[in-house]
Amino acid sequence: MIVFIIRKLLQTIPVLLGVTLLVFLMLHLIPGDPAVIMAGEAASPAQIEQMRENLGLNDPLPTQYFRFIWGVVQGDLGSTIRGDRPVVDEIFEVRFGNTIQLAVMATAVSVLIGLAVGIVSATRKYSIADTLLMLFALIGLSMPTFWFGMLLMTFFAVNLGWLPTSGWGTWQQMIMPIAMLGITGSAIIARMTRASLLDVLNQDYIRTAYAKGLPERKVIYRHALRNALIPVITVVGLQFGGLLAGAVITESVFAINGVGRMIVQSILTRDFPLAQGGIMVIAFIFVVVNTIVDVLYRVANRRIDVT
Amino acid sequence: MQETAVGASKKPKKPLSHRRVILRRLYKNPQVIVGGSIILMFILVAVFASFIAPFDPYEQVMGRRLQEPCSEHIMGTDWLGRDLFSRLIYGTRVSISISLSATAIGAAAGILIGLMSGYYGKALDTIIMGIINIMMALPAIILALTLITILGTSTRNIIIAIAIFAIPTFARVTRGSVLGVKKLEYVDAARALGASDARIIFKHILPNISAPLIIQSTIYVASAVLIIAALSFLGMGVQPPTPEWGGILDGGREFFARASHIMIFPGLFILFLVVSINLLGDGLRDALEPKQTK
Repeated sequence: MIVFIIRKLLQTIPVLLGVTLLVFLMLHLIPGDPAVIMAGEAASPAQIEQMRENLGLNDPLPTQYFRFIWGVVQGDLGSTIRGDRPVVDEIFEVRFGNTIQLAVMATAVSVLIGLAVGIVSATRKYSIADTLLMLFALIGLSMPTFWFGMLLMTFFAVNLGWLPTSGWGTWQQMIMPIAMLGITGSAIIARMTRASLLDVLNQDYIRTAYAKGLPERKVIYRHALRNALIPVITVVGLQFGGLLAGAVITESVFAINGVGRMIVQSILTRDFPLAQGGIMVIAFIFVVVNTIVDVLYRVANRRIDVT
Repeated sequence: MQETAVGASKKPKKPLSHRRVILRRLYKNPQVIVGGSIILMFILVAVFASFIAPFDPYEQVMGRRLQEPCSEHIMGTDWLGRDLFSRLIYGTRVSISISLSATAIGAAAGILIGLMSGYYGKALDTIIMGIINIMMALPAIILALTLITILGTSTRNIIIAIAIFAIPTFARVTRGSVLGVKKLEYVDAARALGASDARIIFKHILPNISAPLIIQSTIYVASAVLIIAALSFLGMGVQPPTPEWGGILDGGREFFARASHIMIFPGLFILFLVVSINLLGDGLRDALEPKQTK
C-alpha cells in the first residue's frame, strides 16, 4: 500500500511539470506584448525595450521557462502586470479561500443529493419516483449551469428579494452559488450511484443476504452500498475537478472574488503572470485530488479483496 | 443427415445478422426514438431556418425593444428590438454546426491517436498518454478560453478549440478499447494472414470497438453545445450580431429584471437540445453495450 502511494506521488511529478510547461507555452502564444502593456501605450520604444530587458523577455524561451519553474519551486509566481503585486498574494490572500470553500461545499451538496437520489432510484427501480428522479438528473446534466444560476438569481434575488444577487462571505450570499454548482453536479453522481447499485444488487451475494432473511435495509446499506460506492468515489473526484472548473462560470455569474473569475479576467486583460499562476493552482489541485481519489479507490477495493 | 436435408428443404428462418439485431434494439428503445426525433426536429429547424423564422434575425426595430412575448412576437423581442424567436431559430444552425463539426474533427483526431497509442504501445503509448494526462489536468473551459485567446474569436477557432479539447477523451476511450481487443484471436489471425498494421487497425480493430466510440461521440456533441454557450457567456464565443443561444442569453443578463424572457427562452432551447442528445446517448449505450448498463 505504501509503495502504491509513493508510486502514485512520483507519477504526479511529470504530470505537474508537463502542466507548467503547457500553461507556460500557451500563455506565451497569446498575442500581446507584456512589456508594452506594463510600460503603457505611450511609452517610447527605448522604454519598452528597457522593460523587456527588466522582465527577462529577451532571454530565450527555455531560460524563461526554467526561471519560472525555479520561482514556482520557491513559491514565487512572479508579479501581476498592472498592480505589480505578487501573484501569490493576489491568489492566496482572498480568492483561493473563496474558490475552495465554494468547491468543497458544492461537492458536499452534490454528493449528499446524488447519493440519496441514486439510492432511492435504484431500490425502487422503474417506479414513478425512479422515473421522475432520473428525469431530473437528465435535466440537471443537460442544463447550462450559468443559466440555472441566472434563473435562481431572477427568482430568489430579484423577484422574491430573499437573497443578495452577488458576492461571497455571508451565508445568504453562499446559498445560490452552492445550489447552482451542487445541484447540477449531483445529477451525474445520482446516475452513477443508481447504475452502480443496480449492478451490485444483481449479484449472487445479495441474493444470499436476502435468502438468509436479512432485512432490506441491512442488505442495501451494509452489503450492497459498500461495494456500489467504489466507482462513485472516482466520479466524486472527477466532480471536484469539474466543480473547480465550474467555479469559473459560477464566480462570473455571482461576481464572486475567486480564482476562476480571476483567470477569466486576467486572460481577457492579458495579465499573463496572473493567468499563469491561477491556471497552475487550479491544475495542481486537480492533480492532487485525483491522486487522493486513486489511493482511496485502491483502499476501498482492497477491503473487498480481504473480506 | 436426414434432418439437415429436411431442414434445408423447409428453408429455415434466416438468423438475424448482428446489424439487424442492433437495429431492432434501437427501434425498440424509447430513449433513442424520443431523443432521435427531437434531434431530427432541431436539424430540420436548422436547415429550414429561413422558412420557419417569421422575422429577419438581424433586423433591429427600436420601437419594439424588450417586448414581452405576444401574438406577433411569440417569444418577445430583445434589447435591439429583434424578434427573439427568429434569432433562436437561426441560433440552432450555429449550435448544431459548430458542435457537430468540432466533435467530428476532435473525435477523428482523438480516435487516431488512441488507435496508435493502444496498438503500438511501449514508448509511443507512454508519451501520448503522458500528454493526454497533462491536458486533462486543465479544466475544459479554461483550456478552450486560452486557446481562443491565442487564436482569436472566430467560428473556425471556436471549432478548433472545442475539437482540441475533445482529443484527450476520445484518445483515452479508444486506447482502452484497443487494449481490450488487440490480444484477441481474430487480430492474430489477420496478422497470420499477412495483413499490414494499417489493415489490422482500420479493418479489424476499429469496427470492433465502434460501439463505445459512437456513444462517446454522441455524449460529446452534448458537451460541445454546452461549451459553446459557456464561451459566449464569458464573452469569448461566437461574436454578435450572429444569433447564438449562449450569446443571446448573455446579452439578456443586463435586462433580466425587466425582460426575463430573453434569458429564459435561449436556455430552454439549449436544455432541449442537450437533453435529447443525452437521451440518444443513453439509448445507444443500452442498445450497443447491453452488458454495461441495465
